[in-house]
Amino acid sequence: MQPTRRTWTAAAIGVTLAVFAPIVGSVVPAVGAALVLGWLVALQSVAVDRFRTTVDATTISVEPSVTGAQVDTDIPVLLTVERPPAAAETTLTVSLSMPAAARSVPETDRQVTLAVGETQATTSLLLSVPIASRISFSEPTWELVDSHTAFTETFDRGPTPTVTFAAQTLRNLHVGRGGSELSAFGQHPTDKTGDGLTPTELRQYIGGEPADRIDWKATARLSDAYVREFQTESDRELTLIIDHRSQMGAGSTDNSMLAYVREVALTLVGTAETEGDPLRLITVGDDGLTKTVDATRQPSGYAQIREQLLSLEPTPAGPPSSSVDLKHPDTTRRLAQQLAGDNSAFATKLRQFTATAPSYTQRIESDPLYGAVDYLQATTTATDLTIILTTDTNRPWLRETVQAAARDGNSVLVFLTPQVLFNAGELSDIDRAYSRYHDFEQFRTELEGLGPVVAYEVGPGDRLARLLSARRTDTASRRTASGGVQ
Amino acid sequence: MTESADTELAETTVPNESQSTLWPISLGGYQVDIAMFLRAVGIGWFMLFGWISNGVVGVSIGLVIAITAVMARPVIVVAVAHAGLLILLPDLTTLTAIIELGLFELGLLVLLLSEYLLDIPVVLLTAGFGLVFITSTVAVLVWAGQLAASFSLVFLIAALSYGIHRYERVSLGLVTDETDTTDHGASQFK
Repeated sequence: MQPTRRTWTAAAIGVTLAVFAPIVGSVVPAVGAALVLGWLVALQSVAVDRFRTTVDATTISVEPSVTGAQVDTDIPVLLTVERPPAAAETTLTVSLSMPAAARSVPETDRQVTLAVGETQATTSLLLSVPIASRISFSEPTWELVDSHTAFTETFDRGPTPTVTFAAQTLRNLHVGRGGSELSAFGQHPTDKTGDGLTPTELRQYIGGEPADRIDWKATARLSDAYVREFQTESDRELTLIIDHRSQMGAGSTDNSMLAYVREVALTLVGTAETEGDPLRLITVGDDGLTKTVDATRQPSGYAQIREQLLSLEPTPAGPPSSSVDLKHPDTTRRLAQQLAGDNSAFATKLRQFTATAPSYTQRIESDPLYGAVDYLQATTTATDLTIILTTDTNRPWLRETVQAAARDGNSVLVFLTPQVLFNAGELSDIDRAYSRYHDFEQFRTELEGLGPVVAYEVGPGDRLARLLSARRTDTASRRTASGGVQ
Repeated sequence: MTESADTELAETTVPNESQSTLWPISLGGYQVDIAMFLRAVGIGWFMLFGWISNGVVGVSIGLVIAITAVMARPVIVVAVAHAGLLILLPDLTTLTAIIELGLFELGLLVLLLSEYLLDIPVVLLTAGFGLVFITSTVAVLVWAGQLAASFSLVFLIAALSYGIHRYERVSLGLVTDETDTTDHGASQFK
């Protein structure tokens, strides 16, 4: 609590009178001092009581219109201060500090003042952030002044909403198969015909069908009764499983694997919202599931999923694994075969590792991504489409994961970020890079053979184009060279 | 954006119509500024008792105080009035003089309260604190002399004011429990 200048002046007068008393040898100035200082103590006591009443009864809300947006978007933020009439005996000014990353807003636009007797005030400001970030407002600053303007109090208290600003769409996002760009993704024809809006095919009228289903124009044209079939419309329940383990941090900060799959995921959320499809989100980190959002078709639900996606960061990597890493049974088996017949101390020691390596089932069940599919199947009766967004770092386990997701004929969509497109310096050796991309492409095709699975590659289009173009040039030059020799 | 939405977004304030104020007051059909009214009453009271106790000298001092009140804040006028009281009441050894001082102080209290918006809790607390402080000052004066009385008054009020300040900080939840993070503090828990 701080006295105002007027109060300090009055206190100085009181103290002067008190000091003056022994100088003049009379009690009269001391009595005056007692009166003036007693009056100040009375003012202070009343101010404290009213400050308490105001603080206890006043509510402050800071409400951004959305919790997630793209950079450079203006977001209205509403600051509202309310108090009951009984708590309106102070002047209350509430100021909102702009986050450091946000564009500045004049103080008058982010401040509301309730004079004595006023009970409610609202102001709105536009929040805009030029860089991708997750920003939080600091607590609003209260400035209380008592009705006599004798004392003030300033402190910070109130809500601290968070808004996530995502980078603009990646300019070189490539989604496709085998190097070919996919023009659009996210739509999902049902492959079934019946009642609907989108015409698909004509078929001959079958006796007993309602007459209003006959396509009269086609019937007149073909001189027989025909019925037009329409594509059946349905709401597909979609499940997004997004991998944000440490391995998804590969690539530059702004163009990491996670940034690319996030972009794809955001597009899918937009499509689901447009189509009105229920959408569920499961995010996977190094230690298991990090977030689940139940299937929703509410705008707030889509917004929540969007916010979750925008806030995803690669989880920290665990401690370095042992130098003998027997992740897959094939590796273990190969090592055991190589050690067969070798009775050296080193081989004996290594053999112990092959014996104690966890079983394949144990290992795969400990994989977070597999765990996410397992969780999905355990907690839901059926999901129409499972969408997995991950990388191809651990192919054997990913294969098992996709196979598990496609169990019972469930449709699976896989978006993969090829490691070869994200590792720094990978493109310096074109042959090796192409060979790795070729391996990836084989793996992607293999996944599509696991059942109703469609797998896409996701990555920086410019790097992929450079890889394919360099490979074509290299092949052509070799052909020319070999032709010259012949 | 619609007009209603604009209205919603613009800064709005809702005044409390039931705000209680005693400023100004209606007197005989006229609106009178209560601050002026209180000052007039306080100075009139002072002049009346000045005239009763000291005749023309008392009235003259009252006039000087009235002129000061036109130019300065009431708290300054109260300080000047106490300088005047040194002339009007040079000897406070008799009961009559002490009663006269009390009556003068009553007028000055009214004058002092005109500094801000008249507020009943402030009036009552000022009267209460004033009485307690004056009594304690006089008591210390009788017991330990003038110098001790003045110092004890200032010290008492400073301590009380600081106590109220701390109470306010705690009651508003502005005081957090501080943990001793020094080695010395940590060693206590080892």
